[in-house]
Amino acid sequence: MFARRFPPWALLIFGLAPIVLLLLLGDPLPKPLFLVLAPIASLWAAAMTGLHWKRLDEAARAAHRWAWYWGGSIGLAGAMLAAASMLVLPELASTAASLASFMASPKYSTEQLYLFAGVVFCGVAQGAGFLGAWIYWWAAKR
Amino acid sequence: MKNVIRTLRTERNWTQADLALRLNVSRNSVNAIETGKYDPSLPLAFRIANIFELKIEDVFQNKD
Repeated sequence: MFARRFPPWALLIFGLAPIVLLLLLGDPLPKPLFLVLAPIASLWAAAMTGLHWKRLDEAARAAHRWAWYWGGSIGLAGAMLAAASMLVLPELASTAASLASFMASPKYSTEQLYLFAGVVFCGVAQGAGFLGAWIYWWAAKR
Repeated sequence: MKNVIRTLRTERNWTQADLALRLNVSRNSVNAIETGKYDPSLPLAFRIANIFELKIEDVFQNKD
């Protein structure tokens, strides 16, 4: 079977690669093509993530659950704290705006850009929290 | 939950990878169970006890 040939982590990379590619190349693509490719990439990612989960043993699943709950929550809390800090520290807000400017496109308004940048930032913060917690789970008692 | 998996495993000269292969789990999982980081499910605990040809209570004990 296809999934058995690869380690679980490889299935995750296969699953997420098209989405990352679409995010990186999405802007120059014609909108109708993007609207066709985006759901296909999402379904592919869901299928590969499902296979990845099925291939994990119970300890690995426990590590994922623990890391998602604690790492994801702490990461999101950090992102919310950073967002709240921008309200009182305008210089932080302008630094964040200049960091987000690499995603700027004539197709999108500044408000749309900031909304997208906020979503990406929250996702990255949750992902970083997850990764840190996952590494901690496995490394804690070695 | 405490366990004596490491002792039982070394008595048989098995590596963690050998035991992992017998249990059909990853070596990291065997390490997590041995060190008490992760308490296995009841079916996996029975499989571990069966592999060592012992009763489950001879492999796993309550912490107190």
